Amino acid sequence: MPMKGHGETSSRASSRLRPAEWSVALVKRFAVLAFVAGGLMFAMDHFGAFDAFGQKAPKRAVRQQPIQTATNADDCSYVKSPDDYRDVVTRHRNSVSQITEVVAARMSSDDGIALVPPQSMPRKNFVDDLIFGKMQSAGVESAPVCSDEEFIRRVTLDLTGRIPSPTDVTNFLKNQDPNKRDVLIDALLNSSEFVDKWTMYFGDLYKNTSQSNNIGRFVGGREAFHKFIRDSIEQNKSYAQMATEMIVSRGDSYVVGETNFIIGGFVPMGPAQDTYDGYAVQTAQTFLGLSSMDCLLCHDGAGHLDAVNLWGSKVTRADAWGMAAFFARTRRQTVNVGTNIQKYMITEATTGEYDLNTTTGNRSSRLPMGSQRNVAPKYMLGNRGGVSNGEDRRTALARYITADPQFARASVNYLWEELMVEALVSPSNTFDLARLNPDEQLPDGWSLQPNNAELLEALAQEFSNNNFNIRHLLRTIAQSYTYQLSSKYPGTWKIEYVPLYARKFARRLDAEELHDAVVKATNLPPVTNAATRNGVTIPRMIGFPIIDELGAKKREVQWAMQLPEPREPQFGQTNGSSANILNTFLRGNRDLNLRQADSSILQSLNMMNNDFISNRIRYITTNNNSTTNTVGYIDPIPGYNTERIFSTVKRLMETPGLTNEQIVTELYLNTLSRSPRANELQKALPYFTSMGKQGAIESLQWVLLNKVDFLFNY
Amino acid sequence: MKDHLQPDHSCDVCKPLRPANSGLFGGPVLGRREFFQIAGTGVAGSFVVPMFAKNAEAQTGAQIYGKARNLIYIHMQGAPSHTDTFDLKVGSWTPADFTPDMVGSGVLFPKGLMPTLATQMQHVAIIRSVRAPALVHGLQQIWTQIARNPTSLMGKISPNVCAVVAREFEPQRTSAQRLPGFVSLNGGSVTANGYFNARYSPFAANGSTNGLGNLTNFAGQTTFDRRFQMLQELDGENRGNSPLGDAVTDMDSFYGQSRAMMYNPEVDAVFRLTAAETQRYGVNNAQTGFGNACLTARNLLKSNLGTRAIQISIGGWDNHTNIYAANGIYNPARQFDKGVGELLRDLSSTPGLNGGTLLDETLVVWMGEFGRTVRTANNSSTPGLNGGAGRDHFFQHFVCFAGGGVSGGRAIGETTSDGFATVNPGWSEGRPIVNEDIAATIYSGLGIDYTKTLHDDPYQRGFEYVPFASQGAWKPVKEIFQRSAAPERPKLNPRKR
Repeated sequence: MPMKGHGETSSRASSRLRPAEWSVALVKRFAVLAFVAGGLMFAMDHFGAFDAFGQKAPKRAVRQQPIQTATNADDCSYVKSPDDYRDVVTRHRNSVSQITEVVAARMSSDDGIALVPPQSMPRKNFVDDLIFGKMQSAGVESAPVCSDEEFIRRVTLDLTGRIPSPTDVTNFLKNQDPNKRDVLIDALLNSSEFVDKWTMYFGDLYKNTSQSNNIGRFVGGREAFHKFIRDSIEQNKSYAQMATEMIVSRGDSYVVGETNFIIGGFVPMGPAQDTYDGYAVQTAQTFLGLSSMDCLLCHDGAGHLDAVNLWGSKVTRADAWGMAAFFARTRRQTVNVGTNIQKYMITEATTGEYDLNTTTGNRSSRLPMGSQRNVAPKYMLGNRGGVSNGEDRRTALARYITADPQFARASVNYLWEELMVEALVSPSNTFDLARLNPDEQLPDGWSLQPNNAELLEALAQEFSNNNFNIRHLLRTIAQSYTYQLSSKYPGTWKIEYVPLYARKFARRLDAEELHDAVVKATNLPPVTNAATRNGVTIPRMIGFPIIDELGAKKREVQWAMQLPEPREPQFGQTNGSSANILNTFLRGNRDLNLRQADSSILQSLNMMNNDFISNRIRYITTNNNSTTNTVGYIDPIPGYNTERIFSTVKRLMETPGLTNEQIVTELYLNTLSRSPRANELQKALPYFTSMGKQGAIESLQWVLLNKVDFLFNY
Repeated sequence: MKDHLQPDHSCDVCKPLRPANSGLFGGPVLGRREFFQIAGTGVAGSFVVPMFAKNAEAQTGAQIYGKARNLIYIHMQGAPSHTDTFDLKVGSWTPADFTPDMVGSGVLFPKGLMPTLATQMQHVAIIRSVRAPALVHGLQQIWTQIARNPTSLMGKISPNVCAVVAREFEPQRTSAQRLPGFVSLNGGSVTANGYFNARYSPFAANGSTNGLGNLTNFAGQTTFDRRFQMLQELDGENRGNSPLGDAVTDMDSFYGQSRAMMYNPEVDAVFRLTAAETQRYGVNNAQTGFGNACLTARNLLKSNLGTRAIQISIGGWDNHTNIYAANGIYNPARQFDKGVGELLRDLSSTPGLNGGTLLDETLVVWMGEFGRTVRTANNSSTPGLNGGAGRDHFFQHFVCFAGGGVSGGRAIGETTSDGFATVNPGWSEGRPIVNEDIAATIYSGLGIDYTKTLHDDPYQRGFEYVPFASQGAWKPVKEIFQRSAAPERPKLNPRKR
């Protein structure tokens, strides 16, 4: 693990980035510490970190004075270019808007749909009241409600990360139940695929890795954390309970999975206070949506955040220290379990304070404030309480956080973004607490931060009223007509309509979704090669083996969406490399390199030509002497399949009595989760004459996998 | 002189001219308009910001010093120790096998660490008076690639310098040239095309003895072509001719560019390396990723298939601990030595398009994002190093230019005896050199007007190739291009405070 110094230890933005957010995430990640470094060079008041470089500390650094205002405000990016921070929101809207326009334009055009006045839109729940109400007062018309085909693919991808099966689609279309969409949502919420997808989602949010830049959890820790997340989702644990368990966690990191959340906050190359700060930043960002905590732990908000964060501009570094002090008794003991393999014991000491006595490390000096030489824990929001008698510090912090309305707000904002693409507060970890209340008079020049402040409050209220039930919240959103709007906008679309959610926004499938969609459409799962590692042999198998650092197999998974982290799978596949496809589609590493939704030449080259695709498209006639074939069809593998598994192409080639029209329809249903439109069928059928049956089937399968409406959720 | 050695001093030399809005660190806080008001008021303005006035007067448009056709930009990610490489300072810490010796015109060089490159230093001009604005890997890596503060407004939409070069040269593309203008090799953290069209995004590839994957389709070319046509037919009428703006064009561009690269023996030959050559570019007769990248870069330029800007990454320089262990600086340095040494050797013996060598037509630039500490840490028992026998992040660093009309075998700029700070900037502007100057130098060497402003950016503020260069804030280091032009006497007169 390379040691890194400055900056590598600062906060991360929301763990799932859309393209337009990428650059601002860099800002958030690096600006603060970078500017500390700049201060070293130019302002030279900000000298605390210099000893970490092996240089002599200058005289000025040891002055006995409060440090909070020591930074030269002129050097701060917030001051110099507040527009940067404001423009982020616009940029994201622009990107969301453009992508949706593109994808919608590629969809077949025979729907005959029209815009609807918002007052005529049906209302399912308070989401619709607040969304269509706002649309109405803005005088903007709404996209119509989407078709059943559009809906089943969209909601199945969003809730489970998989595309629906052809049977799911046809049954859903046949179903005459007026409540069938609600019924489908409930079925998806209760599926095991739901658990896969949301374990992946929260694994991203909590940055569960075996190795990160700052610390290694190793496979033991990662697996324990993965299990904690998975079990919590499966049991539908209250999110407040889940957060509490992570914040107060203690014990063996290989056993008590949630300790690995705390472990992720570790900051190397600095005093213990840097790590306390790291824990506080991670906690505030994950559970309160407050990335500005990272700024505030170096300096006061005044003079820095004035132009971008009204709340932050009034918070002092001492306030932020009060948050970090909740972690001042958190201890992490390293236990060697093998050569260069470690686990950790997380404990809570009975003594220890957040001392103001540092001049080295990753943050500016912490110097006594007058006669005050340490900082007591004090929650920086709400009633600003401290620790009660007999209560340990992290228990107190978890109590404050989960009781704080901001906890509910931040959580629903993350979840809303995952389903609706555009967050209510965007980027989703940059809350300005002074600009959330629609009833409050804001100073001149300021406007409300959320796209729809009333909706944010209502969702947060709904979440806390229902014991922070994740499934309930997702159900509320997915059942709304707002979620079910068409992504087509049959009228003149404007970027100003984005915050009104006047249509559904499209997104490129995440790497794992795309991998699994190819597998599901073509019906050929990944087959892992037999391999030996560290004396342990993994036989040929369907799916991915999960092994630890010593090579011991711990378990196996079938779908990319079930992989515990982007470092997996570690073994290659005989029918096309899964890791290659997953990395090409930018799943990131949950650390310095976050998930992205960009497209690229490499993605198109891979979708067109990679073995992962071609091995699933080729028609291979069955060779009865073969026992190990995995291309085009899969021969029986002991313990996995007793019958040959046929690809969709092979099945369609060899099923007797199918008409060409039935074959095209099957391919569309399997791949795009919809039937071909009349004009598509018209274009496709002649291929059977010009290319022959095999050529037409293979080619159509290839084309459909490269179509925009396969690559995107719309 | 003494002032510059004090870590907490502040002076105009060490505080580069940086108009407000172009960056966050240092410099007078002036808006553009104020800058001109003050700069235009002569003596009074000069008193307030002396260097502004001087530069405003001196500003007479871009200074173009070269006409190179190609750019190879090698990004040494992780930040190499300047005092162990291109600004070598010998001390008790220096391993014996570095065998410091003079190369070129009195350039002290670790011949033992980089023996191959030592034979090619006649092509190389080292600039030693470079200061980094920040010490954060991620931020600085981007800064070096976009020539402006990544956190500034334009920073977030700025393309890589290589993307700008690709776009500048795109009009020269012929129909037979099928490769993207900007290719990135050997991974690393590569800043992309910013707000530019996806056509200028870096094509991330790696040559190998097996060639580049995915350039052919299992079904064969005829069938593939038919399928590609079917994709156009079935994927809506909007592909390639959309009223919807760039996003559609981008998507079409990715598929279009992908297709143009497929089924082309010339393209295949570029990325299909011979075992013998990979060994020659590798270490101890074994191929390295970086060596293969250098070899691919040579092939790309030799083939003249449309690639004009190449970025190559080489990591492993972040030697916080045990810098002189085998897996410390030796590891990246050996790979770098063979890769770049052989690359310069080959380019200088390959004919170019215009009479000279390919190296004459190619500007080769390498640098890290910053340098490394040079002084003994409090807790260290090893002179010059930190407590872990390594070196940490530091502002002072270097940049090297080769080929493309560069007059090599020289070092420009001079640092203190321990490499802590610049004592002689060694160029006409008389101040430490920063990323924006380096970008201006690159553009200038390629014959590109670095003061140019494009007006197609989404903010409609104008995208300046080098921010504020048109007002004289940043300059090319012309001294590397002209051996005869003696550097002006450095101006080290810190204003009394």
